[in-house]
Amino acid sequence: MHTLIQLLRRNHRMVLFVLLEIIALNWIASTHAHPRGSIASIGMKMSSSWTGTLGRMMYLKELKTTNVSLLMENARLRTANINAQKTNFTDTYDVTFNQEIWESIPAEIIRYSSDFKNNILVANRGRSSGVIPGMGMLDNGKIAGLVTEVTEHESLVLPIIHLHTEWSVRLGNEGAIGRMVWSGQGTEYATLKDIPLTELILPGDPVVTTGFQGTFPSGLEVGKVEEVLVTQADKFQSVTVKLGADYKHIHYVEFLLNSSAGIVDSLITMAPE
Amino acid sequence: MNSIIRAIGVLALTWFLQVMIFRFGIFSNGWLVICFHLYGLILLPLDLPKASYLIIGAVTGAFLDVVILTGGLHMAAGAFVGLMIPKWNEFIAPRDGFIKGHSISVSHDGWGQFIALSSLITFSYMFVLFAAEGFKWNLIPNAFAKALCSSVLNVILFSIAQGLFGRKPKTKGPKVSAYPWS
Repeated sequence: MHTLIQLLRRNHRMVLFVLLEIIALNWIASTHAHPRGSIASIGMKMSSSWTGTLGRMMYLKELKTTNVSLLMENARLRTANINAQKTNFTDTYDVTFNQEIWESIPAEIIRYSSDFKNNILVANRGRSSGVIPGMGMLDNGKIAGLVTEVTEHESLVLPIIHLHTEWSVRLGNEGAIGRMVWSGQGTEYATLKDIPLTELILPGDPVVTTGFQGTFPSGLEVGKVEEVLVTQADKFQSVTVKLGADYKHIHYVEFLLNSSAGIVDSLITMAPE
Repeated sequence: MNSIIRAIGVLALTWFLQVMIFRFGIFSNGWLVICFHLYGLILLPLDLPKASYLIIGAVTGAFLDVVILTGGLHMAAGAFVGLMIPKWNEFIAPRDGFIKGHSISVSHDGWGQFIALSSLITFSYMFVLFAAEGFKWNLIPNAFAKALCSSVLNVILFSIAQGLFGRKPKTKGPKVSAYPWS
């Protein structure tokens, strides 16, 4: 024991370094891979109060040219316009997609990073506004992210441009289903994988949500096919997708919650093992 | 003691400038990132206890992580650079060492030593920052290249700051002339 203490004392700098790195890496793991847990919440609270102060200063400057409520309403109306063929409004806040009622909550992005590998967004609506983890986020009617963590007045969103997220999408309304990931190269593009070679894909084809994850209704626009990548060694082809969400200018968004998700989930739990 | 307080003041100021202004200094899809608070770490006295560099580096990084929501990236990089600073100081030290409480400055040590120390500290920091951000072995070469690019940008920035606000050389000898009529 005495020897151990002597050894630690002799290498106290290295011990301190290892300790600090463990804390830092643990922090990184808890906030970057899947931002959950108390550390993420504390960081988010402190950061949002800081950015809130900065935001108020910017807000006063912006007041001359911008009416926030009008912009929010614009975001909602644009979404409605884009999805007009499948959408019937029941009231201002509930939207119907494919006979499913989805609750729409408008929000403003108060903090975002789009130049790192694991980008995150923080919106100014939280638990008090009805936002819960698992809700999908739309930017201008196109899918943009997934809520992973909420505090009373803020929510943390993982965008498509995050290395550790996967999205279930479909090529067109009747095409093949694949998983979309972000390669870390630019905020405008993602890669759609596991598409069979037999599938005929052309640049400009729409990429839409499958609705299988329950986060988004099916048929919502994700982006458009930019390029098809085929390698002879593989039985599948990869597709470069130009994302519909514009992360460089993201500001006003809306969260979607499936009001009938509980019924579907109860059906899933009733399924035999 | 006076030099330590001054150095901590400079570090706090550079940290504040990083939070307020230079946090937006991310260019070319994240290939060029400004970390101006490193200038404060570079200007720390060269004879502090070795463990204190570790603590100062980690704490500065942690505060930055909390404010700009980078979740531990700057803390990891700060702790690493805190470990390396004593080694880099030894590396650039003249044969008879530095005087007590000395901080690196262009006027005293010259541009060569300032740029050497700045480059070593900045590159170590940037490399760990980008490596921890990627968190994958295959992204290490990418992190190396990004660290190199960002280091060049930061060292240029630090050199400008040093040229503008660095300690000016003290005038030698009395100002009173022996020939007051001249």
